Amino acid sequence: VLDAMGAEVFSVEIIAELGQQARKTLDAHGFGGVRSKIGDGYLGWEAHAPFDAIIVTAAGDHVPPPLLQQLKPGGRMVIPVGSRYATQRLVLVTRDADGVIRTRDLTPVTFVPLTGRR
Amino acid sequence: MFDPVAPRPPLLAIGVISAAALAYEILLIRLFAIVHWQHSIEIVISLALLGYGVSGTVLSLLGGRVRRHALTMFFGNAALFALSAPACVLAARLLPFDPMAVASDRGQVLLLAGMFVLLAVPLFAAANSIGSMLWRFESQIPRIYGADLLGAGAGALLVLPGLWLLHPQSLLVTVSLAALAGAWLASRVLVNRTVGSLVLAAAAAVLAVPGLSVLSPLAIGPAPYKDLAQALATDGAVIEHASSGPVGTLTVVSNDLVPFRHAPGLSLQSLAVPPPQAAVFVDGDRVGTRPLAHHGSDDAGYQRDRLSALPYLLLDGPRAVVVLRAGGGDAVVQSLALGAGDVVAVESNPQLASLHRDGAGSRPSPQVTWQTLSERAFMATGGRRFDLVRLDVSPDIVGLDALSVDFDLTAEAMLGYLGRLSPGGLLAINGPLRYPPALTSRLLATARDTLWQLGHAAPSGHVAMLRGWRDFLLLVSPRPLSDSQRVAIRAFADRLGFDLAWLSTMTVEDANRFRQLPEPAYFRAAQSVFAAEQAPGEAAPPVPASDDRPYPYRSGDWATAVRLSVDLLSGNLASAQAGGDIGMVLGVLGVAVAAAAALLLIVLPLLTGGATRRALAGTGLRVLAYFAGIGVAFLFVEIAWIQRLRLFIGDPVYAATTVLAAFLVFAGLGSLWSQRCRVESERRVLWLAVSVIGLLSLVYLWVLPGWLANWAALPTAARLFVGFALMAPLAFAMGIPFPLGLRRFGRRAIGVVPWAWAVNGSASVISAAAAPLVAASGGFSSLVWFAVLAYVAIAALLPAPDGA
Repeated sequence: VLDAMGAEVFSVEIIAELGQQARKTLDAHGFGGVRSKIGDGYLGWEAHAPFDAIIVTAAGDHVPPPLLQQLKPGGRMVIPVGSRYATQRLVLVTRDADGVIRTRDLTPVTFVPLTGRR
Repeated sequence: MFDPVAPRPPLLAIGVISAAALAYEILLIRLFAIVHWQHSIEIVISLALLGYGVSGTVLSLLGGRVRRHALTMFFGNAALFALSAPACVLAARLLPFDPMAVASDRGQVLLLAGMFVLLAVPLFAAANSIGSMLWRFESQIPRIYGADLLGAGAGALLVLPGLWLLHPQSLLVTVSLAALAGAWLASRVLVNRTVGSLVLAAAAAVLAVPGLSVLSPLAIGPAPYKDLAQALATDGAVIEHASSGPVGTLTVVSNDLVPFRHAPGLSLQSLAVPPPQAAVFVDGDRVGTRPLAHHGSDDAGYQRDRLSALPYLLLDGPRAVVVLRAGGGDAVVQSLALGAGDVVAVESNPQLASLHRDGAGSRPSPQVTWQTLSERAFMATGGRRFDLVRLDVSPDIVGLDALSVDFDLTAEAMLGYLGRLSPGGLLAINGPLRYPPALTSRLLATARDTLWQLGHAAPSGHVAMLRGWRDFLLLVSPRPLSDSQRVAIRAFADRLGFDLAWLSTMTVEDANRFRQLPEPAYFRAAQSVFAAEQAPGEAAPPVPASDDRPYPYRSGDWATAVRLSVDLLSGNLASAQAGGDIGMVLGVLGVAVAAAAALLLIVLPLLTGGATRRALAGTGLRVLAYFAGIGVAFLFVEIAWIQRLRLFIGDPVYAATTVLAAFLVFAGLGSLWSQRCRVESERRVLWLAVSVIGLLSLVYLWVLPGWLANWAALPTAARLFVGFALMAPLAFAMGIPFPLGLRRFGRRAIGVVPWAWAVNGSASVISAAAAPLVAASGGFSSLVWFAVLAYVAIAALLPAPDGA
């Protein structure tokens, strides 16, 4: 969706199998411009930083500092807060021109968690 | 095959089967904590009573056939118990019950009911086994009853050391083998050796089945939603340590591929990256982390940027710090990184304390002293003062712990914490935020009331609360916070992007700057708490948790939970999801499931029996009130003291085992003693028993807390003995009303007896499930008061002797 909207998209996936499958699907449907890699999403993708926008699909007890550092001034990040197996709150994280980071609660969300080996 | 002229009842075998049944019940409490959640004592008691209650109904309906086939029933049900104990636990584990999905999936209620009934099956079988002997050897009922109770008491006491030696899964298989051993013992007394050989063969078969061996037991792991399950499902996860004890299963997991990085409260402005760590789990829940030995890193960087760093900066490197619930390890590591001179780490779980004390994976620090005591026991004993008392709490984000008992967050606890501070010292409580802000409001109200109790007229000036992206920090000072402290707090918050939730000099503009909420809810809630300073007569916001009502995590009341449960069951899921603690909703649904099971399986089948219906004519309501009242009152007292003694004994499994053992043994002795009463003295004896129950209950409510606080530092075995001894006279008296009533009502119509058992059993099942809801609203004392009044009413309901 983001690629179709004209964004330059970078994707990091920790699960090799899922990442490879996603690569094949993207290529098969003409989204070869999306760049992807297998790796620890906690560290982001410093080589292509900073980013205008970052989407995080799962967070632990803190927002990974590398991701915040890779967010441009004026950039935005969305990240869920709460238990992965229950209703969470989607939070918007912004970095202003001075580098100060603020957050704003957006909406309750529920992500269906992955089960099984990953 | 069986010898119908059996010489005597197999008392030893009955005792062994009773011991196995009670051990199974205690094991369920542990297994529930491992698989699902911690707050299960009342559920387990309820389903145990369901099993026994259904057995009573079945035996009553079978009538004379039980006597004719008693031996077959005995062996058959002993075998059924042995085989169903591991099988039903495994089957229940396979049910995809997810407590966090309750608010969005009505089907979870059916799964909860299924789990409830499945786990009751082994106890149904054990009760049939013993009940058949009561029918077969009527003239020796007191001896059989005595063997049953003594065996149950022994089972409760043996299961504790068993949990030290074996994993709960292995112990479950051991329980099965014990039941078969009981059947084999009985075969030596009752029947020919062929049956004995068959029983031995069944035992060998149990041992041989893969997964049912004691040495390689069936896998009963945590549910998929638990932290450990998620951690192990990630590629690269390696289990570094796994052990088990009565207090919990301990697992340490590391992952070089997707490292654990634990830094709750880390500022969004921080540039420091937490180092990779190993995660520590107890019963599948993550409790903290420990450094990895092969990673050397400077911890001070990111540790200073965490919300929990504030008290260390205010105290400029405190000399003496006590960390309560230190087993997670993180708070101790942070204390050392931020310059604490001397750290006392208090952890009630001996396995966790050993893990850190032994320094596996990293060098133990000479600055840290580990104390294996409950937090309250440590704070109540010894006179050493500390510059910082730190307590990190981990409430469940979605409120699954609404009915969890936590004595470390009560007003009495906070009074103890403040009493151990040096002049200028601080109490710091850290934890995850919850919305709505009921927990933080309750903690503020607790701080307010405690400071009032210490004579401070304006508690608002002694307290500061900050919130971060996901966490809160509460600071409480015995002295008013100074101007320099308030300036330092503001500077810390501004630099690291934390919001003020309470500081006496703040305004609403300070409250919602960094983590912006639709409204400054936490500040408004705090304002409401401290508004009581200006208007003491106005209704206060959340009432502080107390040792009588130690439920700090609930945000709603039982009435809201009932409404949400009704909405859920009627399909109005949007309403059910809108709010309310899931834990409270589960509590209400548990009562509904218990009531439905009791009605369908215990009561209704009996009403199909003509003899019962005839016997009920003319006595129905009185019988109902008498025996239902006993069922409710007995369970309310038992559960109140299981939870109340938990504070003294220090662990829920130990407390449940001690109280259950005491009640089984001494209530049984009271029942046996009551059989000596002559008809004309029955009423007098009943009133005497009720008087003893009332007097002891009230004395215990008023006097016991003080006594127990003085004995808090006794060794574990001594505390178990004290708890057991305290319950003995109360349980003895409580064992009298039921058999007295059975005899008095039974003389009028023998068909009333099974009905009395059924009503009593059903009431017990329902009241065990309902007790936490009642206690969360009215405290443990409300359970005891209700029970005392119920016993008085019961005594008044005893009819006159037949013919009088």
